[in-house]
Amino acid sequence: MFQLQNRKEMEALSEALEKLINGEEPETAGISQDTLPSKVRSQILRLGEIMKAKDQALGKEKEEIRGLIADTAHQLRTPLANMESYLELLETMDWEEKERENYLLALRESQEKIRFLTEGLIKMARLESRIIQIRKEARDLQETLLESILQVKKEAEEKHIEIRLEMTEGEQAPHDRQWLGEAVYNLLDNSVKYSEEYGQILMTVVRNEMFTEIRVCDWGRGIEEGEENLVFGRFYRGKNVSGEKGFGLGLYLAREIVHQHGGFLRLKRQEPGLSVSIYLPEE
Amino acid sequence: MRNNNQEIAALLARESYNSNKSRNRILTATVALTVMMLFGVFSLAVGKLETDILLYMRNSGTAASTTLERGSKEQQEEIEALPYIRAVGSSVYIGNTEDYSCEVLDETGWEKMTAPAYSDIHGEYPQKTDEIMLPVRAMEAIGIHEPELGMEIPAGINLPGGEKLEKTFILSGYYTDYLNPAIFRPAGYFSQEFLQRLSIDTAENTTLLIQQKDNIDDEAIEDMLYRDVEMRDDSQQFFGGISIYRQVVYDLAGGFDTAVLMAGLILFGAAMLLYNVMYISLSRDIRQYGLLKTMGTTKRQLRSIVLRQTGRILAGGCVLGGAAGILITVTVIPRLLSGMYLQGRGETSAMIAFRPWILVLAVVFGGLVTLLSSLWAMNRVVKMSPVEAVKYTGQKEPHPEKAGIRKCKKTGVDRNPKKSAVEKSWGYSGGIPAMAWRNLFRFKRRFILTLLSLGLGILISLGAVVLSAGTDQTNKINQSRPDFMIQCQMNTGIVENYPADEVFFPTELREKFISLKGVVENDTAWGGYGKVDLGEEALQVYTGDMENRNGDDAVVVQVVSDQWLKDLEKLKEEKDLYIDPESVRQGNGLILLHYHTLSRIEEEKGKEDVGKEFRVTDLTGEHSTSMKFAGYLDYWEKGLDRMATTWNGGGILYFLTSEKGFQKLGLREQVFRVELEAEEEQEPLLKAEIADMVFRFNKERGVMAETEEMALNSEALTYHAKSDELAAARDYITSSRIVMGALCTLLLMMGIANYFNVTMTSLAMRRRELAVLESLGLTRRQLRKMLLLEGIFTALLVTLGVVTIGSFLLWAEGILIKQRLAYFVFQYPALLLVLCLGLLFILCGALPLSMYRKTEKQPVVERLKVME
Amino acid sequence: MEILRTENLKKIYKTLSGEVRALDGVSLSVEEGEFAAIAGSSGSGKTTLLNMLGGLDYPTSGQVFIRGKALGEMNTEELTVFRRRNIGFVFQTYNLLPILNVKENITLPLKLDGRKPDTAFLEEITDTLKLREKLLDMPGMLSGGQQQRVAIARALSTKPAVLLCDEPTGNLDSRTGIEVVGLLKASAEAFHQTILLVTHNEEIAQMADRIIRIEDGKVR
Repeated sequence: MFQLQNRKEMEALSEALEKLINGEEPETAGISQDTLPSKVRSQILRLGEIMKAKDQALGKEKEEIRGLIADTAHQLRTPLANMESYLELLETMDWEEKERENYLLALRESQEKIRFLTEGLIKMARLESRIIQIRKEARDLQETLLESILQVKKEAEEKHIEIRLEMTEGEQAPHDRQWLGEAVYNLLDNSVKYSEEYGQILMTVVRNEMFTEIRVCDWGRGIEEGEENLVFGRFYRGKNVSGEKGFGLGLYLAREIVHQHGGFLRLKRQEPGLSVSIYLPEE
Repeated sequence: MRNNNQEIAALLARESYNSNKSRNRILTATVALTVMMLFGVFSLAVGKLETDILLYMRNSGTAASTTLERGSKEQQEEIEALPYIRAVGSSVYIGNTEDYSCEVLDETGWEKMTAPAYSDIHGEYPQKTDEIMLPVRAMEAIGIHEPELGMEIPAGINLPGGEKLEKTFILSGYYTDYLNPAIFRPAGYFSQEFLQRLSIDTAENTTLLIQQKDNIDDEAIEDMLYRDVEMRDDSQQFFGGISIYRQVVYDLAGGFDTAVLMAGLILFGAAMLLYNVMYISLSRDIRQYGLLKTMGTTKRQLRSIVLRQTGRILAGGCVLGGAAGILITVTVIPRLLSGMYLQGRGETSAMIAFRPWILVLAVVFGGLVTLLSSLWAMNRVVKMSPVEAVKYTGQKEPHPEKAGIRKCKKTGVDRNPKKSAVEKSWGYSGGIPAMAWRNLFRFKRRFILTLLSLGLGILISLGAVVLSAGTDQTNKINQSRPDFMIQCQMNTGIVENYPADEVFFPTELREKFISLKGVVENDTAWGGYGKVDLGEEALQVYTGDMENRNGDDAVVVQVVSDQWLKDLEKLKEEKDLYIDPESVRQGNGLILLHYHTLSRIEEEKGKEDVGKEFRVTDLTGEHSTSMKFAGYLDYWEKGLDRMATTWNGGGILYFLTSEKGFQKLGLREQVFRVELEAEEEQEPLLKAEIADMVFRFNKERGVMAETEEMALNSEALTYHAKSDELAAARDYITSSRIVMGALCTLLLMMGIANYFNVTMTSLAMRRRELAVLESLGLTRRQLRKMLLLEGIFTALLVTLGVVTIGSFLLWAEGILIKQRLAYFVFQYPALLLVLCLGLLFILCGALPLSMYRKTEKQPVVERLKVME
Repeated sequence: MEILRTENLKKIYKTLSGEVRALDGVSLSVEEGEFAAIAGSSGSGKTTLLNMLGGLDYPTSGQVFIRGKALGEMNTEELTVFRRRNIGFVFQTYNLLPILNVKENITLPLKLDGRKPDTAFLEEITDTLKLREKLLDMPGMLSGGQQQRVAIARALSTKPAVLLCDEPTGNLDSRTGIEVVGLLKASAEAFHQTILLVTHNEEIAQMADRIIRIEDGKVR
C-alpha cells in the first residue's frame, strides 16, 4: 500500500519538475505539509521562482545591452556623420584659413563627443566589473566638493548660475576623493544643465548619526512625476531634457560610485527643481 | 511519507533535558514517589487481604463458605452447574478412631476446599486403598513424633453403621492444621478406593463443600440454592456463609464498593500529583515551546520532543520508585513485623511478600498518567498562537472587578466621599497581607490545584485512618464479647445426673459478681431445666430428627424479657416468621430456639404445630404444666439480636418463655450465664477477683475444671475475659495496625509531595517578580512576610475545607461502612487531624521561606535577568 | 508579481481600560523582490502588523495573503510548515533558544525541515555578521547585539521567500546596522527575496525601496 502511495508521490513530483523544465508554473498546492514530498514540492516552487527571476533579470540585462548598443550606435552616428562631412569638406576643397579652422574645430568637437561617450562607457564597464576599486580614506570633504564645483564652474558661469556650498569647516568623511568627486560633479553637471539662466544651485552637507548627507538642490526643470527611479537607469534621459547634451549616464555612474562607498542616493522632486542626496556611511 | 526531520527532535529533546537538571530531579522524584507509594499501598493492602484469607481458612479448616449436608452425587453435579457457584467438593464421613475422625475427600474437596487451610503438606492425598493422610497433631496423639512417608499406621475405625474395622495403613502424606483443638478433632483422610470398598451409604454421610461467587452474601446464597436445587428430603439443609474473599474485603474496607472507591481515590490522588507536577514544570517550558513554534515546529515534532524527555524521566523514576518500593516492602516492614505470629498460625511477613504484578501495575499507571499529563499540558501550547506562547508567563490579566477597586456592595453609596475617585481607584488597601492574599488568587487554576491536593492528601490519609481504626480487630472483639462472662457449663445432657433441686449457679454468687467494684453493666441469662416427652406431637418436626425418640428428655427453658418479645413480634411481621411471640408474652406459649438445625421446609411444617399443647414437667417429676407450642426460631435468623444463651444444639430442646410463663412452669430458677461490662481501669483487678471467685466456687463444689476441656460437660463455672482474647489477638492487631499505618503514611506523603512541588516551582517562576519588587523598594523583610502570609493563608483555607467538608465526608464514610460492618466503630481522628494541620501550617510557612532564602543570596540584577 | 497582501486587517485587544486597536484596518500590497520599510513610532502597530504577516498572531478580522494563499484558512500545522519554508523572521527580542549554541540556533529552522545547511553560505553570512568565533557559544554568554546578529543569521539561513525583520538593527551601532541591511539586500537579490523591515529609525527606513508609514494602527 505504501509502495503505491510512494510511487504516486514521486510521479507527481516528476510532473512538477517537468513543468518547470517546460517553463511553466508548477502548482502551488500541497506545499505546507510536514512530509517529504511536500517539502520537495515547495523546494521546486522556490527553485521555479528563483529561476524565473534570474530569467527576467537576464532578459532585462539583455534588453539593456541591446538598448546600450542601439543607443551607443545612435549617439555615435551624429558626431561620426559630422566628422565625415567636415572631413569631406576639408578634403575636397580649398578653404580659407578661417573657414578651415572652423571646420577643424567642428571636427574636434565631434571627436570629443565620441571620446566622452566611449570614456563614459569604459568607466561604466570598469566600475561594474569592479576592476576599479574604490579606496576610502578619511579626507577633508570640503576639498573634494570644492574640486567638483571647480570642474563645473565654466559651464555654470556661462549660464550665470550661482553655486553655493554650505557646510561646516573641516568635515571629514571616508571617501575616495577622485571617484566621489566625479559623482558629485555629475550631479552638479545635471543641475547646471537643467537650470535656467541666472539660476541657483545649493549644495549642503549634513552629518547624521549614521550617514553624511551631501545634498545638491536646484530650481531648474527637474523631472516628471514617476521618473524618480527611472532617471538612474543607463542612457535614460529625462522628459524635460529638450535639447541638452548628455547620454544619460551621469546619475547611473554616480549611483554606482556611491553604492560602492556603501551608501546610497536619493532624489526628491522639488517644485520647481530637483534635490539629489548622497548618503555616505559613517565609519 | 514522513519528512526526514526526525533528528532535530532528538537533538532538542536531549538539549532541553540536559539544561533542566533541577526540573528533571523534581519530576523523577515525583514519579518515583508515586510508583513507590502505589506499589507500597497496594502491596500492603493485598498482603493484608491474603493474610486474612489465610487466617480465615486456617481457623475454619476449610475454604468452602457454604455446605450441604447429606448431599448426593446428582446434587453435587447440579450445584456445580450453577453460574454463581465457583466450585463444589465433597467430604464423606466414614467414622472415627479414638484420636481422629475419618473422612474421604474428592479432588475438588481436597485441592480447593481443604488443602488451602493446611500448611506444610508433605506427600500426597491418599490414592490407594491402604493409604492414609494424617495431621501432625493426630500423629503426636498416637505417639509418632517424627513422621515419615511410607510408614505404617495401624488404625481402628468405628464405622457409622457401628462396625469396627482394623487395618494397617501406609502414610501417604501429613500436614499441619490450625484448628482449635478444643472444638475440632483432627481429621484423617482416606482414598476414594478405600471408600468404595466400604459398605456405607455414601449420600447419607456426604457433606458438599461449596464455594460461591464473591458478590453473594450468606442469606442470598441459601435462598438461591434452595430455589435451584431440589432437596432430597425435608430435613436436608444448606448452611450458607459468606465467601472468604468477600469477608476479608469487607473487613478491610467495609465492602467491595468502598474498597474500589478507596482504591479509586488513591489512584486519583496519585494521578493528580503527577498531573500537577507535569503541568507546572511544563508551564515553564511553554515559552520555549512557543518559540519553537514560531520557528516552524509542528505539533507532532513538539510532541516528540516532550515525549522523549518524559520518557527519560519516566525510566529513571520508575526504576527508582520500583527499587525503593521493593526495598521497603521486602526489608523494612518485615523487620518491623518480625517475630510476630498470627496467633500461632504462621508469620505475619506473609503480609508483605513481593508481588511483581502490583509493581508492574504501579509502573504502568504512573507511566500512563505521566505521559498523558505531559501531552495534555503540551496541548495548551499548541492551542495558543505562537506570539501568545512566547509571551507566556503563567499569569492572567486580573479580572477588572477585582483589581483593587473598592465598591460598596450594600448601599451603593460612597462610603468615603472625601477621597476622590482617582485616589480610590489607585488605592491598594491593606499593604502586605492584602498583597499576599491577592497573590494567591492570581494563578487561579494552580491555586485551586494546590488546595485540592493538600486537602485531598490530608483527607485520604484521615479517611484511611478512620477506616483502619474502625475495622480494627479490637472493635470486632469488643462488639461481640462482653468484658467478662461467667458461665455455668451445665447442660441438659447431664442435668438429670444431679439432684433435682440442685442450683448450679447460685443467685447470691451472681449478686456478688454484679456488685463487684467497677462493674457498670450486667446481663443475665436465666431460666430453668425441665423435662418433656419426646413423643409430643407439637414437637414432631424437631424431635423427628433426634436419635432416641423415646421417653423424656431434659430441656432448657430460658426467660426472655417482654421487650425482647415485642421486638421479636416486629421481626416476625417483617420476615413473616412462623412464631407466636404474643402467646409467649402472655405466659401461655413456648418458642423453641434452635441453632440452624431445621431446614426451611421443616420450619414451614412447624407452622402447623403452632398452638398445639404439650406438657413440661420439672426435674422432680412432680409439677407439670401445659403450654402451647409457639413455633421454631432460628438463633441465626438475620435481624435477631444475638442473645446470651447456655448450651444448645441439635440434641437439645431449648425453649424461650416470658417471666409470666416461667412462674407458671414452676421450675427451679437457675442462672445460666452472667455477662459483665466494666470500667476499663478496673478490668485487670476484676479479672483477678472473678478468677479467684470462680476457682474457689469450683473447688468448694469439688469440681475439676483446670482446663477448658475438663470444665466442659460438668457443673463447673467458667469465666472468659475479653482482655484475654484481645491479648491473644494482639500480635495480629499490632501487625495489622503497622501495615495500615504504613499505608496511611504513604498516602500523606503524597499530599505533601504535591504541595512541595507546587510551591517550589511557583517560587521559581516568581523569582523574577520578587526581584522586581525588591528593586522597587520592598525590603527583604517585607517580602519574607508576604511569602509567609501566603503560606499561612493557604494553610488556613485548606484547614477550613478539611474541617468542614472533610469532616462531613469522614462522617459519611463512617455511616456507610457501619451499615456493612456491624462492629465498625467510627472515631473522629481529632488528634491526627490536629497533627496534620499543624504539619500543614509548618510546611506552608517554612517552605516558601526556605526557598526564598536560597535565592536571596543572588544580587538583584542577576535575578532580574530573564533566565530561561 | 504580488507576493503579499492584506485586506482590512484589524487587531483589537480588550483591556481593563477598554479597547485597544493595535491595527485598525490595514490594507497593503507588496511585490516580489521589494524591500519595504514599515516605519512608525512606538505603539503604532508595526510589530503587530509584522506578526500578522508572519502568521504568528491571528487578526481579529481581515485577511493576510501570501502568494495568494490566505493564512487564515490554513490549519495550524499547515501554517507552521508554511512559515518554516517561506518566512524568515527576525524578532525584536531575538528569541534565541537558550539550550542550543549559536550554530545550532542558526541552523534550527533548516533542521526542522530536514534540510541540509548550505555551509558556504552560512560561513559567508556568519563572517559578515562577525559571528565566526562565537559559533559554539551559548546565547546566554552573548551581548544583546551579538544575539541580534545570530537572530538575523538564523532568518537568512533558510533562504526564505519573505524576510520579516522587526527592528533588526535596534541593538547595533550605526555602521553595523548599515552593513546588516546591506547583507539583507544582497541576500534578497541573490535569492529573489522580499524584505519587510520594521524600524523607527528614519535613516534605515531610507535604505528601502519603499516606506510604509503606520500610525495608531492605520497606514498613512
